[in-house]
Amino acid sequence: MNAVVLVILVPFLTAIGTALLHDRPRAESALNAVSCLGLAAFVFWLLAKVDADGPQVSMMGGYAAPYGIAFVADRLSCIMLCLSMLVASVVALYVPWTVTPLQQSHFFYPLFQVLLLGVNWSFITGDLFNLFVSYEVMLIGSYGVMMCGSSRQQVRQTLTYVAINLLGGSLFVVGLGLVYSIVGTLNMADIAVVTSRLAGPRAGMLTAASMVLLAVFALKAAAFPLFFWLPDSYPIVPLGVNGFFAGLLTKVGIYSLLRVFVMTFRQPGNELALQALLVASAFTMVVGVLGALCQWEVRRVLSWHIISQVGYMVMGIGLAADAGIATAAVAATIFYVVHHIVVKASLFLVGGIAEEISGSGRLKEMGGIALAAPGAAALFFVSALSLAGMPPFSGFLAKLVLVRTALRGAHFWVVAAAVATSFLTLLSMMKIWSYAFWGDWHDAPPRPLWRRMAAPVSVLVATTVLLGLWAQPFLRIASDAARGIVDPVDYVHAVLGPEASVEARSGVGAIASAHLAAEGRP
Amino acid sequence: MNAESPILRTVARYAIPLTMLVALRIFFQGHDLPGGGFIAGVLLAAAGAIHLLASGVGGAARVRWWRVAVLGLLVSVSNGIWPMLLGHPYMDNEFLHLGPIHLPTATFFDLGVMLIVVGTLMTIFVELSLEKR
Amino acid sequence: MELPLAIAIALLFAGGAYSILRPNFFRIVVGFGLLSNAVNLLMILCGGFRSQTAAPFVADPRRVDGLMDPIPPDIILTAIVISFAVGALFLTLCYVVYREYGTDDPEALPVREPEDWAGGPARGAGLPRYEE
Repeated sequence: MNAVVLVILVPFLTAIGTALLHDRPRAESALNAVSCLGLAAFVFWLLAKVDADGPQVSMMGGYAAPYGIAFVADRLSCIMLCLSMLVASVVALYVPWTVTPLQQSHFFYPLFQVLLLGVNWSFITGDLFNLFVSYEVMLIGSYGVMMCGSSRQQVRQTLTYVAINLLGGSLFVVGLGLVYSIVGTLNMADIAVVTSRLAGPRAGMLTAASMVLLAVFALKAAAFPLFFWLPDSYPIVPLGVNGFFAGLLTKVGIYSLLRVFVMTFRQPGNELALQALLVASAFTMVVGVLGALCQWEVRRVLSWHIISQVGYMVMGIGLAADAGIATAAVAATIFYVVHHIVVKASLFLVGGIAEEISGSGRLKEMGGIALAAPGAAALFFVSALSLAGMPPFSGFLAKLVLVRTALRGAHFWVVAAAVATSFLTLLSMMKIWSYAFWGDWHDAPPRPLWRRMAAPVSVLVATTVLLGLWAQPFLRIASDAARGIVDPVDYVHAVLGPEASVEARSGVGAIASAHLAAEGRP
Repeated sequence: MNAESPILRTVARYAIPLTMLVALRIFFQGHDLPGGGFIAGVLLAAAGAIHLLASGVGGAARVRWWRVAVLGLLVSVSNGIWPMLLGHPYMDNEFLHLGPIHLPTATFFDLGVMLIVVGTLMTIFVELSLEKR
Repeated sequence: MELPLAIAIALLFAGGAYSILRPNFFRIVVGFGLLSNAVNLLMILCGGFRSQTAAPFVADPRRVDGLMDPIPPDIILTAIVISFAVGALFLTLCYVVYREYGTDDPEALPVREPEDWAGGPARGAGLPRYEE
């Protein structure tokens, strides 16, 4: 279905359109919002279609599969696209109140659309090389957005962000070259077919080469030893769009890990990468939350929490090394990603509202927001409890599913780290709550702008409540998507035609379906 | 560089049209030989650079060159949409039959690339010429 | 042909890594340039490069043997453009930081900037509004 291309074509054309409307800021922001909302409607329709009819493929220029550029929308891609467009729409309705004229004159809206283009492209692409290009497009957009306004602090932190990503980009090309020299193709479906039959020294070489890509994706996801760039660079992102950064950019790394290391590389020995991720995940969770506990600015606390939350998702991917629980672990990861993107974006956006109300981002200078603006306090309260994993919100369920899977695989030490991190998360959320929201409010009324900013955010907060109370459909689609990743028969057939066959990795498919049958699922 | 140098201005009078002609040749050669929009764009920008050196930055600074680049992007991207309207994949190659000339849509893609390169390079040249020391 | 190319790649990687670790912005920029060239050469090597293979311009569609695999040059071309663009941005940023802080040593930069930093460039009261 050729319309799949629209998810990258629409942001591309909107970037051009907003650039051409550069002299008319109101029209520019209106076009930005309309395009985001329209594309959001399209991707939700696409998810319904893919769920009913199987993966949809569009070959660029009509060239056939392993050689041409494939855009593939399967369930996982569509879930990620829905999340990205949901957050983008909320951000597009939020930023008109926060963007300064100077930021607008530095091409804020076109750069935001380029960022969106890169993110959507990385979710829809069907080959490793396009994944690299989409990373770079996304990064170029993010450099531009990060520097919007050009304060000294922004330029300087962007410098380190650019340096670390230049290194990541170079490593990505190294990994691509090594993988290409071993399997002779870069199409993900084709690699899955080739590697599922790979054995002997070539399989070992591929595992070694894939470690380079593992480092690149872990860097992007900010997993344990490669997280250091994140807490300094995210706080300088302009208000509003930082919700999109926090929600989506590290999750592109998580998505790539799922897509490449669980679905694409299927040679014996690939479990090594996943086991390494499992060890890294425990450190990521604990280090992230400890970092958050000793920060005194809202944005810095929340940035460190991104790292600690990434730990949970990496843990889910790491659990997939265990063939018996692979499908359940991937399903739990996907559900966690859904929960996390919604909650993290809403926390950053509510944090922005709190800064707007009290005029400062330092916790010790804030206070009394619960008295001045109870609506904003309620939004923060729900998101914070959801992040910490309190019932009845989505965080509780996401952590429950993940921990249950880990217990099934008898990984008790990871579960211990996860539960301890959850308590510490609650502690640091209470810190923000008691410093910023409780206490006395000085007399002046809060700036009234916050109500307009809060309206779009309440959609995200409502989503986390919905995910917690009415989870069955979401869990169902997450576990269907997981089955498509662990055992990608539909994906490979959609891309390469019905003759291609992919063998299940060391009996993973058989064991996983036995488990699903035992749980009474189809 | 002295913008009033008569030697430079005389050379520029002949060099600029010549460079543009070569750019045109290379642009059309790019269909099945090395060449194409990128190189043609670089050559056109080189002609622009000669103009900046010979006649100063005054005239060129009045054009908003980044808009040329954005228009080129629009040409390249929207060129791929046309086959989609006919039910083909995005960026599929269609042919326009104008009598004996068969014009592929890839030509318009390359035209867009050329505009992007010219616009970007001229933006850089003009900004660098305007920078105060 | 593999061995000299492999040695060249190793030297470029070593030089790039050494330059990136120097406490000097200009050397870091040069280091990233060396690194991207090392990566591109590695890509050529990974594409099965032999000294006898010809560039993949197909004059006669029936005779394609002896031509190089066109995918690695394709990837390299894209990687060159991207690393050029991002490298130019990086150089510009280095220049701006040098101009603003008066130092070309990344370690000599102040850790925090208290005067214009309160959780980032927000719009709240007491923060610079960035209006000209």
